[in-house]
Amino acid sequence: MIRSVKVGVALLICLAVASIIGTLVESRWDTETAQRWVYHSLWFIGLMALTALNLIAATWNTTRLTLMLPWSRPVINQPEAFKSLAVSKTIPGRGDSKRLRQALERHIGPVSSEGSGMFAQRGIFQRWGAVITHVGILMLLGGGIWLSLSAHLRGAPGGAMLWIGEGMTRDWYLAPDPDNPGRSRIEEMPFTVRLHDFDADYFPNTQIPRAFTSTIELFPGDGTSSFHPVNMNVALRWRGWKFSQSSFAMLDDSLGGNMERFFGGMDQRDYLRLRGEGRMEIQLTDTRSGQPLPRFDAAPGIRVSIPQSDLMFETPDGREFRVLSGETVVASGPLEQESAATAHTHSHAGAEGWAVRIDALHPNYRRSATGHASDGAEMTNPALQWTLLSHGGPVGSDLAFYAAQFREMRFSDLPVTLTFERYSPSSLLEWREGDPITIDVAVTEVEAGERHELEGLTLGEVRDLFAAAELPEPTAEAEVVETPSVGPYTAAVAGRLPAAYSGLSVMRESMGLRVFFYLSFLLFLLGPFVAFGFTHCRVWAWVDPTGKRILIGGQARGRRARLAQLLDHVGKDLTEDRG
Amino acid sequence: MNRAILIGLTLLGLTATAVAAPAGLGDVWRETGFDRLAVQSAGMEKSLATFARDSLREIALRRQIREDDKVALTLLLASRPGLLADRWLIPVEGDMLLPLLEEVGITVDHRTLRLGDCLRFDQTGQVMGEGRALAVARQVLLATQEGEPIHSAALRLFSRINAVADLGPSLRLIPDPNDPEGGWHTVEEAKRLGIAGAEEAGGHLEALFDAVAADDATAARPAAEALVTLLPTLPNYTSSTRLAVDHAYTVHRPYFWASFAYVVSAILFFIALVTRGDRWWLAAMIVMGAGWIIHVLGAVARGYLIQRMPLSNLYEATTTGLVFIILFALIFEGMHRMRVVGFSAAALSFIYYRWLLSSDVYGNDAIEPLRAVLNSYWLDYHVTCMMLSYGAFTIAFAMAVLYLMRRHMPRLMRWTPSLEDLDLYIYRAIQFGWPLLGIGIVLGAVWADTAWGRMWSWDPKETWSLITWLIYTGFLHVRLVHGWRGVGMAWASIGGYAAVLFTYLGVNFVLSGLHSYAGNTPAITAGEGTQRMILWSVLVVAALAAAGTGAWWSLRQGRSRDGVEES
Repeated sequence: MIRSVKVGVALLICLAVASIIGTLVESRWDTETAQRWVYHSLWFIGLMALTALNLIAATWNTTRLTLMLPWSRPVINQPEAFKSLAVSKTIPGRGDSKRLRQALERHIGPVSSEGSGMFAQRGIFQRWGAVITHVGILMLLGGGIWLSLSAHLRGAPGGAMLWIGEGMTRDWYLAPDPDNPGRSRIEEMPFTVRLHDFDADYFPNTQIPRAFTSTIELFPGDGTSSFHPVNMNVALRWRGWKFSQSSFAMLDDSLGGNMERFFGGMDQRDYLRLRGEGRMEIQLTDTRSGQPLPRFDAAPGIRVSIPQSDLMFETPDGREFRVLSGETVVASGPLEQESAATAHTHSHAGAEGWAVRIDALHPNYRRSATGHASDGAEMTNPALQWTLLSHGGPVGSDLAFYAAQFREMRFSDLPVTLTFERYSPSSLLEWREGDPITIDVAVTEVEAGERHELEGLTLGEVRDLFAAAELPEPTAEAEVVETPSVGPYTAAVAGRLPAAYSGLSVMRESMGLRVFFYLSFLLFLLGPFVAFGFTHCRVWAWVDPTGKRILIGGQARGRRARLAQLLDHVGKDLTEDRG
Repeated sequence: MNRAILIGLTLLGLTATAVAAPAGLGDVWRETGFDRLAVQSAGMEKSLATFARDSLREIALRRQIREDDKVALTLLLASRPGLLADRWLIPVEGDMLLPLLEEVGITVDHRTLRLGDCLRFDQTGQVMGEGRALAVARQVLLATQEGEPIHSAALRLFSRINAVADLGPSLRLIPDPNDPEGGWHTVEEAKRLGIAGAEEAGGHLEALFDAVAADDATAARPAAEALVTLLPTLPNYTSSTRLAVDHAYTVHRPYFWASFAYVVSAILFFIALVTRGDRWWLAAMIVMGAGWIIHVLGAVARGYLIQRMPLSNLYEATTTGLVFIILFALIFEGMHRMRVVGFSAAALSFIYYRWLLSSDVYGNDAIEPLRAVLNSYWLDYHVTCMMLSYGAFTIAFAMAVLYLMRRHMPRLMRWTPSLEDLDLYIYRAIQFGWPLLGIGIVLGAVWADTAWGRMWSWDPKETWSLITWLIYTGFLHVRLVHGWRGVGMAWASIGGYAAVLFTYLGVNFVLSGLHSYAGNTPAITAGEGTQRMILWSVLVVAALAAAGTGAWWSLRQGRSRDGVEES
């Protein structure tokens, strides 16, 4: 019964139904639940194991028969038996055993004979197609059972993430805790990873990502290190470990509160520093052509790739730079610093006498059906309630949102618009509702288009549009770096850019298991081609002892037309010889 | 003689009319080549004609702008949208927003809003603030959560109105002289950056905007000609070949004309089926062949423009899949003149296009950059195999339906092949599709291993393709080993095809996962799409492979009558 095809088909249907249940569970709850309840559960593993047993039994039977085929030479000596063959024909006239044997050997294969009967077959290899396919599927099932069982016992291999900020070094990652579903635990790595650069390449003027690349340096602990890119769509495999680019987060205004808390909790001061300082924006110029290269971000002690080239850039101390091709320095020199002047705009038309007052900060603004804003302790959707004042008193009030998708929203028709730029402390770890907070806004005159930056506002404070900080004193000249430029590039710091965290998916890998699966794929794909690409034909012939006729007939699995063709060739050889 | 004179005079009159008619703005674009100028939009360079079409689709429905000169309308919306304040342009999708809009005094006519109710304009026609409709959409967004139907409707309205406001700033005509792969600039940006030629271009563009606002083709022509002369000379400008291909693809709509040819050929095949006439069959083949050539040209053009095989979303995968299927139908019909295969393929292909065109989301054929997660050569191999297999299963499904109809309505269906033949076609089709499905699944696993380091993660799409494979594996086993055939096999084929449909379409719309990127734009709610899917998909996807397996079968086997051999 275990090798019954009916049982096998029933098991296939059961697997299909179980898989459907798994997809519905995942859709209703989540991936982890589906894996726990279905795909990595003992009952699903048991179902796969039963299917494997059935397959082994069926394959064993088929293999045994297939192995015996070359020695299976069932000669027929009863003419009545030819009626049951799929294709048969009678060749009238004098039967010539010798010519018949020659014709059979020419068109079919080696002939065995007994009495008046002969037998020949060809294309035995076709019968191996089913065996090869079954072995391939068996291997896949075996591998699947092994992995599901491992996941059941030790937790699903996926879901482990290495979140690391640019410039940071880490020797651990977060993996799902199998004992506490929904929570993670720290897993250590026997090596250290340093993220030099994360580059998100977008299609121009869009937020559609073209490619994500993390440049990491791996320290195996023997004093050596190596650089590796981890691209979206190309996982990095290194000494049994796999890293793939799974996610990222830019440390700018788009960063959500949850991620901010997550990074802050994980890296604390390192995160705050990275968030606050960002990265240098480097402008590299090719002195041979005078053309500037596309800008990129960098930081001291970090090696980054230069866009649209195979070169790397590094600045050990933020004052000098090196451009490398591989490990060869092709250019070096002083890193020109950005100008520290900060422009403030002034307008004496229209906006004279105006002031703004921040009335309230709503950490989580929601307008309900009754029209009331709902507050909460979580800075989920910050919104400012502000008022525009003139000498004559309040002009009007409006709301300004911090979130990018609501930033352009206006509720009132005032002569200025206010944009909620920043708030401090920027880390949500340190702020609670009611704590002091300072706010930076930008006020833009609608008609004139003049923009006023107002920094450090507090709740309730009235700030005149022209009471902004005075222009800062010109900064001191940048220190003269004595090292002259060498090579075809010069570099300057053009500004600051937000830093990023890269989310790398981490997995352990067994090369043996990988080879096993690829071999199973090969067999799985090869089998059908063998089964459908070859034709196993078995041909019987019987020479009438009276000499009046020759009977030939045969069987071919699903290839009757081909068989008929072969028999026609045999018949033609016999009749042509006579003619 | 009199008839000849009459015909001649008629033709002369028509010609005179055509010659005498004053040139409109459309003639200006055509004659100067203005609509072949390049605009960078959504990260890609496209012709102005394509930009206009794509931009207007973000704003309005097809039926609302069918009669418009798309380029002129786009230029007007980009420069002086206030002149269209009284135009009924912005559609409201769903019923949920209508009461809210009416509550604030906004008139909705056939679910369309006046532009003036959506945005406020100053005296020069520039956008100066939000209108009442935009305010309502904003309020709804704030008060509701993502996932709620009214939130989706408000988001769509919000997006459409903002698309009008964003049109001017997105008219990026000036390439960056220093970065061939960088972002292009609007004329104003380019002037601020001091890019050579920007000032001059700005002057001509302003003159053109004035001419468009006044609907003055005479004034528009010199400005258009000046821009056509100036802009292509700028550094890093898009190649004229690419722009010509892009323009031709947009203007001539090869897929549309191919589908038209398919429906005509379907009618001809049906007539050939009923009358058994060879001439009708020949006509059907000619028309379908012509349609296929146009179809291929369209696919090649699209592939050239996106620099890859067009397989990255539902629209591309299905339209490209049809190329293979119609080819198989042509080959099979050429060899065996079955008629039913050609009829099925052509009819269902046409039905498919009608389905696509009926959806503003999934029928959006805008060419967009390939998302990073799909940027791999494995995409071509994996998707092609899967599409071919789905096509073969579609043949099996079509033959199964015919089998059941023939069995239960023998007189009505006497023009179809015999039950035995249909049974064999079902089997052969599945024989063809099953290994292709296996190959496609394996290629997907290899891609996943290369890209993400894991071959299988029980993603819904992966799982459902496995489910489909399991069902057809069972089918083949009971057929091969137990010789099961007839009604049971027909129903099993239909059941297996339900799995194919869910794998191809249902997973994308109902389940979440890695493969949920079927649409070109943010999806409408599942409810809106599902109804259309149920209505159309059974017929539509059947067109994917109406004759694929038949060609393979006929090449390999001939007209065999018994598919099972005993050991």
